[in-house]
Amino acid sequence: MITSMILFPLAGFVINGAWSLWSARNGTRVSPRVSGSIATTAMVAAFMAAIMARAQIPATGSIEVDCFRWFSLGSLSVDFKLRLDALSSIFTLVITGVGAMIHLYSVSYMEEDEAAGKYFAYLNLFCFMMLNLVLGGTLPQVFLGWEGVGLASYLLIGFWYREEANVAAGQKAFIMNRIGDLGFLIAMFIGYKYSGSLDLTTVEKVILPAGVGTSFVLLIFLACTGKSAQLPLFTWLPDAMAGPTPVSALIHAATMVTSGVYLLARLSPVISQSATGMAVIAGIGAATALITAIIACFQRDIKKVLAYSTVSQLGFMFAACGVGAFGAGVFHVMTHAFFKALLFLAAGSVIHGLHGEQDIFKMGGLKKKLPVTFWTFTAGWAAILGLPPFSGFFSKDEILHQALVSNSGSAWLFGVLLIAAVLTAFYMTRLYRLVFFGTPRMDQAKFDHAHESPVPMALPLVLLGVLSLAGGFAGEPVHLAHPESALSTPTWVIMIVSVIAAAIGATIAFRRYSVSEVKAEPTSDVFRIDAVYSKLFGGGLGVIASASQWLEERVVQGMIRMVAAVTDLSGNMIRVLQVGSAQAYLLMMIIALVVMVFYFMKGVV
Amino acid sequence: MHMNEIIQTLMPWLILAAGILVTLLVSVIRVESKRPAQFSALLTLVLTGVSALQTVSLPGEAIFSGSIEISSLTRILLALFSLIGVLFVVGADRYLSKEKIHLSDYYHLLLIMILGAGIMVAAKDLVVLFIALEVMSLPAYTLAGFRRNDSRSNEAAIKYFVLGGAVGAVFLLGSAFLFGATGSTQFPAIYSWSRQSVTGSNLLFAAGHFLVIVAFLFKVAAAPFHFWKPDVYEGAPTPVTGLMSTLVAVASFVTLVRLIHLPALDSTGWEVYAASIKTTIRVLAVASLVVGSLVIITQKNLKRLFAYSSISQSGYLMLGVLASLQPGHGIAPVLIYLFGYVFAAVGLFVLLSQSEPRGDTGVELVDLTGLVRRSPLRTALWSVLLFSMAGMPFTVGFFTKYFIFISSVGSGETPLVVLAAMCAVVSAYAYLRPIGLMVMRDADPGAAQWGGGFWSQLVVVVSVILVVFLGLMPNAMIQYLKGIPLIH
Repeated sequence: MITSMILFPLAGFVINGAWSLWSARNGTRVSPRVSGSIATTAMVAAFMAAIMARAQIPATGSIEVDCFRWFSLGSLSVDFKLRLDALSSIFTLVITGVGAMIHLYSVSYMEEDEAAGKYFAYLNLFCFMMLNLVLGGTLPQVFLGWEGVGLASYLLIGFWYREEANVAAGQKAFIMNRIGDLGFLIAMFIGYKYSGSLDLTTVEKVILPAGVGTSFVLLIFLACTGKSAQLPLFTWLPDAMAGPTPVSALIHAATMVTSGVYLLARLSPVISQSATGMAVIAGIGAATALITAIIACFQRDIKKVLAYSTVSQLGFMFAACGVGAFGAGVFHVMTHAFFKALLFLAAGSVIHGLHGEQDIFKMGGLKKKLPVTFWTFTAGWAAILGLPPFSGFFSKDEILHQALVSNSGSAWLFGVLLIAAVLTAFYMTRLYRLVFFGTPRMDQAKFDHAHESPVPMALPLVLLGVLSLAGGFAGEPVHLAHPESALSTPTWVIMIVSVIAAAIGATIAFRRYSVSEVKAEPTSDVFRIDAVYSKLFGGGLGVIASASQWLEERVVQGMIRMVAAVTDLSGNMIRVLQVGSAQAYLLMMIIALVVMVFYFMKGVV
Repeated sequence: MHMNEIIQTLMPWLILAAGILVTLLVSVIRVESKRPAQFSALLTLVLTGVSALQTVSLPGEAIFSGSIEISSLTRILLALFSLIGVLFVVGADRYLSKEKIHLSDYYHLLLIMILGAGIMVAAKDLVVLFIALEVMSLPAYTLAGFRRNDSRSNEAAIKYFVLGGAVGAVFLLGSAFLFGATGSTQFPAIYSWSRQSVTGSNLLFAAGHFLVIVAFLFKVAAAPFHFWKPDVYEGAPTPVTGLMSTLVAVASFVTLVRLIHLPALDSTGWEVYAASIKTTIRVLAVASLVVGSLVIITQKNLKRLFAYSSISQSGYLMLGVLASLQPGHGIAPVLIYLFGYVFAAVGLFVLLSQSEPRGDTGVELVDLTGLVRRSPLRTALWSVLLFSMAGMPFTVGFFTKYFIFISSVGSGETPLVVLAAMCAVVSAYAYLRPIGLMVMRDADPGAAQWGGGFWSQLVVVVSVILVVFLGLMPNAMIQYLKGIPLIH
């Protein structure tokens, strides 16, 4: 069952991929409808398999399927194996379930696109990789999925590659992720060194020496900051909105970006050994939640608001992991997958209905025009605000509660997250108000042409709307080690506080944007983080590389001059050959040789 | 040992040598057509490869008074060399015609190179090793200057020759010192001398050993001995660059490892000496990794790019060399890395040779722009091979790097592994940028046309299949290569 779960998307990828390549050769077109149906069927089948597999998991423990001996070297041998337990099961359900809906939605969304075959192939590839990531039984396999989803995401961000900005966004995502992956790779080697194995079951139980443990946690977290867009590596995610909207919903909101949380939860026994590491995770998570919530208040692009919101919500999840409440983090992954996928798809429906308009200050009054989108968006809005009984209420509440009462939590952490929650309510209500209420701020023609999306797009919206409404009642889906509580503040207090916080934010936004003439606000890069990075990353590495190149050339040229000077003195014997540089190279090598011989001899004799 | 047995043992090498004569002969008899020479070379290589593979599991045997040892390692390497040869005979056909340098000489020179490489890895005597080195190198100099009317090609040939001369000179000097210290040029004798010698601080021995090692560090262009490489790579005809980067590199690296293991480094009295050797290799590894990974980023010419790539590969391989000094690893990490590298590099260089002639400028990055529109299949092939170079998962390049890293962690080289992993990330940019240009840009007006013909495309496809297959199922290859002992 588990094997077939990952094989379905793979089959979809192979079929659509081969078909696209074949038709590209013959100059024919892939039918978006057929190729989309194949991809969607594959995902629905995978979802069925995920449900059935879930039923097979024993109460405690996991099912393991050994596929084949992958490789072995010396005493180390690594099997390709799939491992399903409560934690990975939640992720597989989200990936295949939400994934299936988004595939269905895409069938309509990409109807006009001539490269739809390629699109669905990539999307299936992504799901396959993502399933590998969460089902992988060994660290290299998880890494394989980790890199694979990055690749798929890179391909899909740059899907409409004719626009320069989209390509740049893809590259940015890639580079930031590579920085993070470095952390993963090195952490993997540390894990291997101390546990002698790459098996997750062994590595997650390993006891690391104090200093090593902290560096292990920080390296893993570095990987998470890349993939899950946390400070300082979060700036790629808003740019990644250049991809098609369903991609934003699936990859950059519901699944891939949460793989950092998965990794922390998976390795939670090792992670929680390091108090310092945990504190860093909590701090960075809370800081990210706050900072990106502030940035979200200054955005005009509907997708950018949601993107910053995603980063901010991921910050909440990491804050939860940082205080030891991994279960609460995973819970929020689940509810967030429902409501954020919904919000993105609804936003896509708005964009679709307005033929590509993304500026919220050029929208307004769409409530009547797009009723299904409006009502489902309302569910998503209520969920992210954390209004009871919507799903976000339960998970966010749990995070806030743990941030305060956990041993490693503090009033500070709680305060920061609470402010972030107020801001969340503010920017979401601002968006909600500007898009659906008030007077239309676009040309009459455009408003008249606005239309509700077709059924394949509306159906996923409704389903996700129901999940956003009711998904929270499922409760914490996995029972990972709970943190010790230092305080005994009861849950209901936190509930009331968080609902009041949401109400404050929402009210301010509603009043502010309820005036009849809404003044357009400029988009503002509040903290100028992007600008600084592009100097640092774009410039920095380039400068170092150019400097090395320059040095290399300078050394060569200096040597050539030297050789020229020497041969001039000794009578121009070799000048006829005109290969001064060869002599220079030789001279350099001999100098290096002499230096090394002396050094070597000094050591030995 | 009877003559018969010697012939039996040497069969693959003898087939190759006979094939060289036949190829030479047919190219003289049928001057106007290249096909006979081509066919004869192909047949020779296939027979050599098959006969090497057939006997691969036989036990090792020292022949000619112990100056050559034919073992599993040498047989599998000869088979690999034959495969490389076949791929570059088939893959270069179109290129040679396009560049108007389709001469029969290409084929017998290629065969002689392979014979030299095949003997070099089997040599157990410094003198035989030297001769083999020259047999391998002399045709390579000629081939580097094969584009006779191109000044760059001539320049490359002369540079390669001058540098090759230096390699020979340094090696000979080292051999002389070793002979002076130990009284023999044979590996086993030197080895047993080192076991009896009370201390590893014999000046003559240290100098000699160090020099023979450095000679091969020149040859593999480990930084700071790398300066010649970009120029030579750029100037030589593309298939010849491919041969340097695969055939010569594998033979030289294997020889390097064998030469490092010349004395019994693990016997008592040699601790200081062994530590010194390790430090030297570490320094070279760091230098090669840093130079290769940083300078590659600014390269616009694809052959120069691959030159710096191969410099950084030398860096990773140095990690494997260090691991080989640790008991239990042997030559496996190096061998696995080399095999993986070769499979990808053959495809890359054949792909590179598929551009229409660019005369003096060579193929630049800009020539790849918008390739996906013009030729989607070729773009896919490029991408897979570049991914392998960058060490991305699902390609053999990932695993080979991974093994080098894992074995090095096992031998306590964690800081070096961290550096190497960082270099891999940095240089990934250089490998992925061409893919970006192919997939995500529209063609530049000045971009070159690409067209390879069926046979060269077939070679690339074979290389891609190997890269992907071994990327998914590396175990068979690894297990096999792991079982091969390093000969002394």
